[in-house]
Amino acid sequence: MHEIDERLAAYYNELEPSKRLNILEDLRENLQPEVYEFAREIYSQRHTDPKHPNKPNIDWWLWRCVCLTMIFPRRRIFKKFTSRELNAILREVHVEDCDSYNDSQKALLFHEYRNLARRYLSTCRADGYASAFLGLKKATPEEKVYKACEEIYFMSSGIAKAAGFEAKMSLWCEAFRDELMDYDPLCREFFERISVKY
Amino acid sequence: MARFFKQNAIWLVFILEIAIFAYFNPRFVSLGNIINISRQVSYYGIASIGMTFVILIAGIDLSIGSIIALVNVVCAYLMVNAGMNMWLAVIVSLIMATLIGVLNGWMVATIGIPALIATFASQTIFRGCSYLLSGGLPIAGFTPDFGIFARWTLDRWGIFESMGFVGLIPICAILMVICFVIGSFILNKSYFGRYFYAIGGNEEASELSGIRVNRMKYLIYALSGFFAGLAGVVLLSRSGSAQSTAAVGFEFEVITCVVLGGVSVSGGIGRMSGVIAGVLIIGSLTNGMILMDVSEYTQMVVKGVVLAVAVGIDCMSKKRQTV
Repeated sequence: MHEIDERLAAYYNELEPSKRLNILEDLRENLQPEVYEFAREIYSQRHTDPKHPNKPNIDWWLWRCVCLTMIFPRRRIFKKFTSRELNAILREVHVEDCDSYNDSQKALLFHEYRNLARRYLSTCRADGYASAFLGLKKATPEEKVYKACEEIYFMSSGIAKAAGFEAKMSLWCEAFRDELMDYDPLCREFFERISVKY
Repeated sequence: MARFFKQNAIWLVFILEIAIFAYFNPRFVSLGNIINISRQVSYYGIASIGMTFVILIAGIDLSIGSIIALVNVVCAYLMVNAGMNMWLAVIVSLIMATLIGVLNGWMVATIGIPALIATFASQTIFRGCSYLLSGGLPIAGFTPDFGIFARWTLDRWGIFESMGFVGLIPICAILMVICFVIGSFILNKSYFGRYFYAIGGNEEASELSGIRVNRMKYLIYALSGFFAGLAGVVLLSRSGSAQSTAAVGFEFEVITCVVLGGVSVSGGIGRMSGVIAGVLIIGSLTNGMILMDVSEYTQMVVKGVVLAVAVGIDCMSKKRQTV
């Protein structure tokens, strides 16, 4: 399921955008043109702010993930506003177009989503993450994992369930869930608990 | 139904509080007292907007009381001793307050001093500055027009003088409402609001996404300084004389309003509507206790307990999640 050219593994394992781009460019000659072009297109879209295309050091998709974590808690209060924004995000991250892609493209997209989730989760080990009381009380590793699970739930299965987009967002949710389960052994239990809670 | 009560618990507390005070003292719900409460809460409300932004990014601003005192003294000094036009003095004072906020932002974002320490240092520095400028003496005697923001008097028939009012509504209350509308717009409809929540929720992810986190911190502390300055102008207008001792401990009351309103001290969570409720609860609590002849010392105890309970509930709710 979602198998890709082995040579692309390094590209999808790397989290630093500039290094990823270098890896992809190095692989260019060895990849099928359509695979390279699709991966390059996805990379460009992920790292370009649609309103400010020249802005450097952007991970637009990561920002949209952050936005999803904010949309989820207010999904019932600003229904119209959030559903409009959710649709815009799903268009930008290619969830809307998923059905029109072939298996190879879907696999590339799946691994891009996993890379995105991994990049998000890499921030969840930061010192200040999930700290309490104005940053004075540092979070325990368990608290950090719980918060990470909650946020991944908000931006994947949670928002999909709330909006009734389970089918449409299945690839996205699967990628995020898979990545989360590899993140920490506690994630499975926390994720189940959070699913019940919301 | 349960969700409704959970989401609106703060407003239910407010209604319950009104009912209790009205039961013990019917004068609490008289028109005159309601107008009085709206004037009393106005400067808390204005200052709480900036504090909301700061706490949303998991920061704190302990300097707002001192900013208010300094704005009081500087604005009065410019009007009385330098003979400056009232509006110009207000503008200069607000710019100064904003720059103090920028200084706080610089200490927190660029130098890396924890917000608690940086703003505590500012608190001491600028309280000292206000004493130095005023010599510890009150400054009074500025133009009566300055009372437009908040002062009220009764004429000989016991009717409100028009100064500081639009109809029966105090101008300072209108100013507070305008500030809350702007604050709500920033939080709910602008990208800046998104950035504030994002930085408070996960600063590292915000940075990787491309948000200039340090620049945002400068902006947030500058906004906090600006709103504190505006609250200072309203307080000066209301009191009619500038004192270096003004607004001592004010920051803790504002923090209580904000935290009581559901803004998490861990950052990233909170709504402006909750803060409005928090401000009204603290304002009504203060007013109600005064009407019931509760001593000032007891009032301090009660407000301290409210702050501890509000923060405690926030911390407990976080702790319960992982247990």
